[in-house]
Amino acid sequence: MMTSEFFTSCGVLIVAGKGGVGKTTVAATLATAAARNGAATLLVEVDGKHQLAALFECQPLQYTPTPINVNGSGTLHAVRITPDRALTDYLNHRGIYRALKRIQGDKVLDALATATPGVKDLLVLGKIRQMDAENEYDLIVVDAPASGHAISLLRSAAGVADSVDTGPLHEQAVLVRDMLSDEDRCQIVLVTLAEETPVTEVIEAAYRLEDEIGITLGPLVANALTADAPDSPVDAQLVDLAPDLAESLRLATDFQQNRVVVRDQQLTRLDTELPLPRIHLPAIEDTPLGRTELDQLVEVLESEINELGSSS
Amino acid sequence: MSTVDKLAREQQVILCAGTGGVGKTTVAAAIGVLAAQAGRRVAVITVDPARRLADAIGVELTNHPQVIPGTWSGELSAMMLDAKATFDDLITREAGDPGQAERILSNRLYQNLSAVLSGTQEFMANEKLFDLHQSGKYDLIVVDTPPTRNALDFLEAPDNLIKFLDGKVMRLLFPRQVRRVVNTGLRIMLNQISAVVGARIVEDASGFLKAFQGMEDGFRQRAKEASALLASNQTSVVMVTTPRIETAEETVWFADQIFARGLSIGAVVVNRTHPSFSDRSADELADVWDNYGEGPLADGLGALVDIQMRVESERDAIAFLHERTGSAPIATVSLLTGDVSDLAGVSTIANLLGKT
Repeated sequence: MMTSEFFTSCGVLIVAGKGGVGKTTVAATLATAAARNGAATLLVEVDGKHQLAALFECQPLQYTPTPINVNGSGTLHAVRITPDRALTDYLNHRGIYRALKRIQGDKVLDALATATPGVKDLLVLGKIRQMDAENEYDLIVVDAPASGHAISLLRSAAGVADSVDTGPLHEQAVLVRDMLSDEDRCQIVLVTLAEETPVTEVIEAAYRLEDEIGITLGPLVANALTADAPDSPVDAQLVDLAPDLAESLRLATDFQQNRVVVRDQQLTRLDTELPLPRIHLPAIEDTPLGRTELDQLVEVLESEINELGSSS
Repeated sequence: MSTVDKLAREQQVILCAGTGGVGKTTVAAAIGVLAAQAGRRVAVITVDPARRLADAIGVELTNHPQVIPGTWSGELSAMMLDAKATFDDLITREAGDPGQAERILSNRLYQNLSAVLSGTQEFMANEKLFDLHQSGKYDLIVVDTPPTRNALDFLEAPDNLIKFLDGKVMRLLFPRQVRRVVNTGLRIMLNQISAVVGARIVEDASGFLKAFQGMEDGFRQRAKEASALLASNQTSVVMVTTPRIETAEETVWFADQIFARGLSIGAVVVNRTHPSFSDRSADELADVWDNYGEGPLADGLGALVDIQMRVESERDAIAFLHERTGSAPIATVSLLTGDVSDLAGVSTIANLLGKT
């Protein structure tokens, strides 16, 4: 598959995974690669601690999209859509925010929206859907909340559609539900590490997402993969080294080889238990991650996407 | 004796806090093992919907503590929080009569609220902790706190409930009060809100609050006691983190919020540190590496340099953590090549924690 083709095969890519797997980094990498390859791209942060700003070495993201320089033929904007802001925006759109605020009804509504599951999540997705419908961007990449929550975020549409029978929220819920289940418009990219527990969880999440939300699974990202291990040194090679170095070398090699065994076992498990096209990204040793590291990842991602095309 | 071991032997409540993906559940289970090894009766509460602890100890977990068989002198039990079941139990216990409990349990808003409301999990974990503590069956309760966007959701759950019960929403939607403050503004407001979220949600809410009437005092009292337990010196917070600088920064941010609340941190567990294989610095090793061009030896030296660089950046992160967490004692758990997915793995972690 051509890289550019991959990035325009659907309008919204939702990047999800459990905490600590590098989901935000993967979302940023995908969005940057898309922009480099000609797509007008929007990267959406929905919660959290401004990690994207740290990665792009820019100011914390705002509700209005900020342009990010990517040196490519496309463009990248990034935006932060929090549930509270989505609610205010929704009310504003309907022209009742100020009236409600004057009689302090906004607080009551906020409490009700918080107590009614899915309403705020739905409004976040509704905002994303609206931006997709406006067609200003070729691709919208969403950095979803950690795994358990991504499922409840995505399920909000069906939940609200069922529990609110008429009115604007119901309409909104139906529109979002339709978007989520349309594979030409929306797909989910799951991110995992090649370790036992994360792999177990990503397999579980994948089936739930398909069954409960009806969302199409895009390629799976196996992130932060341990580098291949060097061969064990033979004694003859070690004679020149100081004795402490020879011992260090043996220990480091063994350690690295053991980690590679774990990595490969888990990748094999994914082959059989979650057979999706897969993208492999390396562990980056330098921290904190910034633009230099992001660029390294973008390069790997581009070649991985090219390979996806040639193998399928 | 290590700091964590000491906490496991002496405290009544240990809260394991930290961001997602740092091995919080495993550390909570390992602290439980340490306490059981010291002869204590300990219960571990996990709130993880992904059933990680259940995987780790190979016992099907429910909303009530199950005894985990093991070779320790104490007794280790574990449970997985079911927020809805805990909420139902609480309502049934606090309700004035079975009819009131039934009205609440069958209310649609309550059903949604108890199943998925953000914050319910925190509140219910808290309630469960308090409940087990009150039962007198356990010397120590270890809580694997929910992964949250706000570090304090768990600690603040009782206070938030008090605020909610005393708050404006309650007053405005409470039918008794509504009659007293009949005004058109309120009616307009409720109409507008209904137009946005649907009349059913507003009906459900007022039905829920009506059914809840009379139970506030019991809830308020319980929330106050739970809050006092968390603030007592029998409770310790153990922060769990990894030695990556990004995670360390988040941990410090968490710690700041805990300090702002006047609590202290009993220990910081730095999980998955890389082992060091050389006493030489990464720079020194890199100089040696430079002399070896290409080939198997150069590859091996390269790997050694990479690991040593990682070790050094982890040491910086740990120093940063120490400095910024009120000099809380730091325990490190080195990266195991295998994954921790069974009781033996948890015991290995317990051993490591008991030593550092």
